[in-house]
Amino acid sequence: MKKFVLRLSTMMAILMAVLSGVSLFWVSQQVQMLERKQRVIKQQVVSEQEGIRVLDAEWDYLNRPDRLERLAKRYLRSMEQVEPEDILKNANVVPEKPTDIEMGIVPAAYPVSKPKNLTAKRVVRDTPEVKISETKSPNPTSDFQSVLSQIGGIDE
Amino acid sequence: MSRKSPFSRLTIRIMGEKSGNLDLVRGRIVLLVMLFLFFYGAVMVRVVDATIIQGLFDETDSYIGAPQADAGNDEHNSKFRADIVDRNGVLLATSLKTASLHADPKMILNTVDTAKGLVKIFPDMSYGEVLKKLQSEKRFVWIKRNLTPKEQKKILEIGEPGLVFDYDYRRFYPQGDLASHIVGYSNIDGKGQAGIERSFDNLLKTSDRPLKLTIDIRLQHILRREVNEAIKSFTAKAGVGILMDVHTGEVLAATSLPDFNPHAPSSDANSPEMFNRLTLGMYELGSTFKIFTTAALLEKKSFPLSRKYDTTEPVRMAGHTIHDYHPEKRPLSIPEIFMVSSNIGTVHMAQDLGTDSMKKFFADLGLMSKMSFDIDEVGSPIIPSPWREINTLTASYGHGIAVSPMQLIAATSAIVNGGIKVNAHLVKQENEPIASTRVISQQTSLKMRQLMRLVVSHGTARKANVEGYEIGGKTGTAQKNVHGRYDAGKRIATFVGAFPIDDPKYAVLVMVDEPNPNAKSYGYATAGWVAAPAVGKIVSSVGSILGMKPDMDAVDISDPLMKFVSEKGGE
Repeated sequence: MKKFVLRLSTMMAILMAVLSGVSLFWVSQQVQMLERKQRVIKQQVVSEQEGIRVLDAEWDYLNRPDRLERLAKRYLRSMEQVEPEDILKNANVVPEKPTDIEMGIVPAAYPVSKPKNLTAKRVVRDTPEVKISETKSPNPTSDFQSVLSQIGGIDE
Repeated sequence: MSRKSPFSRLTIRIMGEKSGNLDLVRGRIVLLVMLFLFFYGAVMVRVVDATIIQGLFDETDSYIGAPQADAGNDEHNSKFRADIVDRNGVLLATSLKTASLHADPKMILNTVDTAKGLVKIFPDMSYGEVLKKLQSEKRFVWIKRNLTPKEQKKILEIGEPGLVFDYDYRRFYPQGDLASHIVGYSNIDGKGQAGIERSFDNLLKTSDRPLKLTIDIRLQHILRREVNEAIKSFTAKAGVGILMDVHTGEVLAATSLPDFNPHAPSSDANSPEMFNRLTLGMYELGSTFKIFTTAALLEKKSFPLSRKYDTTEPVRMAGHTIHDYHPEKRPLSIPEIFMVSSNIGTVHMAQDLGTDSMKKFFADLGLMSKMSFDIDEVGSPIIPSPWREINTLTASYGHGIAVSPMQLIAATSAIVNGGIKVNAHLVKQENEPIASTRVISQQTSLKMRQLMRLVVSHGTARKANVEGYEIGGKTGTAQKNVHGRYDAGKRIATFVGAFPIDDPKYAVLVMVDEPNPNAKSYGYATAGWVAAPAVGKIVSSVGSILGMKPDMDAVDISDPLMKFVSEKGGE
């Protein structure tokens, strides 16, 4: 009398078959999905590269020497072409920046410090000889228009 | 009446000896049903995954690729050409993908409206012509090549299914006409027609790496600007300028004016702007050849520079009379002959030298044969045949022999760089070769540099002088040979030189074709007035770009020659 018996080994075999079938299916799905993604990315790369080529060409087009020269002439008036006499070999012969006095700028006041050992007595005034008065507007008003005109905000 | 469940049979237990077999069968059926249920379940799960989970939530999986991305990728049909760049990598020529429009007349729904729409977008097309194209029996008609993105958008807005875009590469030249004779151009089918585009056609088609030239567009711009200025101020017909590295033969800048727009080259191959005067044009370059005659004499005969030649009488031979432009009418030393550019003196030097020596020397410098160069537009020099003695005499001052400006500057480079022959070239090499064939000795090269400096400091090319960059060179004003006769009114003014002359790094050439005197030149249109000032301006502009240090206190290397120059020396 044979009874229907599911032997352990048969069960294992069926399980393995099912598992491997499922995993095969899953892997192939994954592969297809990744391939599709890769295709899209490749296309994106190609179109980005095309974009870069266009930008490169545009950059070099905008940096044409004749265009730069024209723009420099128009907007950088104080900048001139470098002449041989502008190039110096020795940094020490570079003329020093003229001092304020040479430039005609007279300083308003120097900070004065008292000399340590004075032989002659000298009075150092703390207050300036000329009295400095604060500038005050002649008729301070709260009127908005006049305040604005005091700070130079409107054209008279 | 209670109905029995259809499955109730399964619950019937059949007893007997066959019951074991039935059990077995039933077990198998259950197993099969289970398997089917499992697979249907798996399919269901997958459907849910594919439609809901991936379809709705996973956006990246959707189709993004622009339609043009896959067009024109066909390696064999593509018109893609590799970029051409200058020595600093600036684009001289590049290929960009553009759309072209063609139509399938069978698919056009409304020919009249489509034609109207197209004419609106492209005003240069005629309505009748477009309509005729759209109504033709063919399945393929070109409407317009190389659309701009704006035009493409407008065409898409027409929404006509019979209008089809085709994507392919088109050649662009970002620098325009700046180096058009060097770079050349390619036609609408992507085939190189001139310059580097033609000579390297196969390489550009197959390679995807850019081809690097020796040109520097900054120098090219300065050279072109100054040559153009010289042409304009002397109402000349044409002009040529070259800047070359004297040690390697790299052409740093080369311009031939008039030039052309490579995007729209003239269809007439004989029009003046299509003619490459740098290498294809052959000119009698006049007194600049005295450099080679003098170098040959100093090299082969080892005469002292103090040797004098009498220039009192013009030279008469075989029905020709050779005069001086500014006759000195006295015996002149070699430096004086070179400085005042005396034809008579140079002819006497050529007589001392002899025909064979001179021909061999010219051949060593590459002046007697077609030069090898990186572009195809190279001409053969015009050499007198047969070469009689009179030809030796005229060739000594650059008449009766015609070479290209590129040959002249390459030969001059060899004279000034210490005596080593250089090969002029345009394609940048990994390690620029230092040529090794010696044509003259170091000693002769030094003497020649002194003589060339003398021309700029005291001679005919004083207008080329730039304080700080010591230039040396030689002017040449040749009468043009028009139909076998020399026309005194038509000249070619040339200056060829090198700087800094005590140890030359760069050679420079300016040639102006048929200059006319202008208001400032006192009736002169000679090289000293036309070409020399242009060279001066070029050198003072390029010096800082080339990173040269100007030396204001430099000792003039021509000073030792002053003892051979009499007081009267001058012009």
